[in-house]
Amino acid sequence: MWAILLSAIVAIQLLAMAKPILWEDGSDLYRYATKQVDLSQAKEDVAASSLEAIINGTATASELSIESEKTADDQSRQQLILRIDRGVGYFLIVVGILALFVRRRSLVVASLLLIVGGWCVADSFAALLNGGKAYSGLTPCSLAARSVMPFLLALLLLVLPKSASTKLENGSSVFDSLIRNRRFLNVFDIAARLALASTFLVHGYKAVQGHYPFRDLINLSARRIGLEFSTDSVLIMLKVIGYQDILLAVFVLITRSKFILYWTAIWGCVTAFSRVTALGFSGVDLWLVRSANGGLALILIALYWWFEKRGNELKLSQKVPLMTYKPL
Amino acid sequence: MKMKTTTFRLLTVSLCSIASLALADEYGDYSEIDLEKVHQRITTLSGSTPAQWRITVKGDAATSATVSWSTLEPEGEHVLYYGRKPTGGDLEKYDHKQECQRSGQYTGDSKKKKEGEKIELASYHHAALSGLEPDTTYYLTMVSNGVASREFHFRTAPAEPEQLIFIHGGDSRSGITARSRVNHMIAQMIEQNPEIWGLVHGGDYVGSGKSYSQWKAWLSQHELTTTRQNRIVPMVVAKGNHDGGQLYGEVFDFIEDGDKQVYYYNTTFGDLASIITLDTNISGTGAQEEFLKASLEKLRPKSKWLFTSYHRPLYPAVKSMPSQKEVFVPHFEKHNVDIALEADGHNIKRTVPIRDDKKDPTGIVYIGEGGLGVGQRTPKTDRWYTDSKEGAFIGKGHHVMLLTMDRDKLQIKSIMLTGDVVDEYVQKVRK
Repeated sequence: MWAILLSAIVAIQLLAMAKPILWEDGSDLYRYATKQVDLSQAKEDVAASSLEAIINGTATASELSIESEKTADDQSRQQLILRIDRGVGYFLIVVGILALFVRRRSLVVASLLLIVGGWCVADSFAALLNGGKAYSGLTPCSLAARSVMPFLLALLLLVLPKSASTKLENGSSVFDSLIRNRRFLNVFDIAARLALASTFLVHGYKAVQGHYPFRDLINLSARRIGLEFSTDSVLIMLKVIGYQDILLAVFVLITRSKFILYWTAIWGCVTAFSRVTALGFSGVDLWLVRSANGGLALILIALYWWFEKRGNELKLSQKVPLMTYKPL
Repeated sequence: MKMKTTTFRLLTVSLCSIASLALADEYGDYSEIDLEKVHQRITTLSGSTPAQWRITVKGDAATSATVSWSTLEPEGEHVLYYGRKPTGGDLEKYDHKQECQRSGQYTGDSKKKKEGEKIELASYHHAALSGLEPDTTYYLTMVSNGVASREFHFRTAPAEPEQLIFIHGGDSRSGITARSRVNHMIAQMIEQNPEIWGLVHGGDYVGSGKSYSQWKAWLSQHELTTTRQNRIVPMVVAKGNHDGGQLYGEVFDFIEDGDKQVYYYNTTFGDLASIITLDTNISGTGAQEEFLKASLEKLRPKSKWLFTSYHRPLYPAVKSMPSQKEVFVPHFEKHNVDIALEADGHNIKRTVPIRDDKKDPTGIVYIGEGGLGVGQRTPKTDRWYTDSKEGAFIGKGHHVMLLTMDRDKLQIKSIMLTGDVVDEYVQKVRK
């Protein structure tokens, strides 16, 4: 159950991530790389220091050259970056589809997922470097839940048995072998909870600060059902939401309360879906790309449920903990 | 008879050739200009010498303007002398004197320079002028701590203009050499056509709004928009997504007070035109939406041409649609905004007229998206509102847009740094 949920969410997320790459303005990595080519083509560093010298009067315009040169090489580099980015878009679609169907150990698919995970992390850091958005410095942390998903699925595909069938003759599942793989479970569990907490913590902080897109999400969603809120009311709501997110992040990190996880899952799904309630059809991809925000909590719930249920059925000790915490 | 026909043909061909040559030469090619000569015009930022001058207009363009400048040293009195007659810099002969209402040191970079030294921060000075005479050339000299600038001039808009011409552009945030060239081109365009009133900037002046050194470069390069006859180009400014931080308010005289960051305002040109400047870096709902509704209700009935100006495109040629689209567009359409001026996408765009998310001759045309220096992106060709078969235009390259309007029609030209006019669009006034 939890493994199916994991692969389904990874697939949905990767397909949604491919949309802006293939049909909009590309990935943050693409924007970062093309900007660097632009700046190097314009010899921006030299130009900036030369201009500063002119402004400061430490050099005259005639002493300095800040001419840029357009070379065919630069233009072909731009084209190459664009082609690579488009390639990444198609790659995400392929890996997303593969993620749906592989149910056994697969070094190949796991490697592909590791590459995708690495790309997700790099892209979030590119967003940080590109700037231009409020709190862009926090992007890698706010996208942690999204970024960790391919890594988690890769981890699973590395430890699963090689059997092609999900059902073994004695009625047990290939996943049953994982129940004794404490190292895998611990790594999976802690990585998932760290990422989830990171995402909720940053979103909570932004909400407390009255982040403007969140204000629009509330107002536009409320309008669909004929409600209007004052700016003060929205800011109060955001404060409440923000502190709740921060509390959820803390509890996700320090406990394994199923109640907290249910709350996190529902709230993660609701806030992601607010893109649709606010923006209509054009918000669908924005919702799907955030499927990990609530989905990761759902996966943890399913994982704990499976661990308890199959543990009992396989007559494992109820006391066997996931890491140092006992599932509640 | 045959002779007459041949002569007529020759005459026609000659006239057409002359006309096409004149059109080709209407805007010069500034893509390869000698930057050494251009940069010799930049004023050294030292001591109390007034430098980095600019004029912004928020309100009635016929009667108000804010003259701003920078000095390296903050000390002393900062005074603007101005009047309707040139005095050659003789301060006593000016009609008016205005002490700067707002002065202070620019907020500095958090980063230090490589040598470990902090960048020396200059100071800003703003003299807000009101009660100016419409359609009047004002001559002015900026004086800081007894050091005077050379004499400049600018022109207020007529109270009831029959014609208005302005340049629109955005995104001068990187591409230092291209920025110099575009600024030089703007100055040249105004020299060639003194009827051009000013520049409407769609935002993203610098890459990092918190970087003083980037603003410092932008401000000094902005001097290049001043004509060789010392005419300063007034600006209507919108805030871009890269212009965060306090410096934007310090450069353009916006007072930032905690949460009360208000960068939306109106600029009016009698009953001919109005520009509603919005801020796409804050919530579209709430106070800004109330401002927009009130502005549209007030300005639409008394403006032949109604523009909105903001940074992030609502019908983008490259990016995805922002959340503000859901807020702003219904109001734009309800009140029949004529043209929406946009930036941010780093390309050239003119959409089809849009209403209810489809092409409609009564709709709003969205133009932009910024080419005052920044590297250009390739616009998407698969969006219905930028489909060239439907009459829209998309392209890329450093450019400005020249908007010329009278009481009957509006013409928009997209002019490249090479001087080529790549798009020309004419719209009749709404009935």
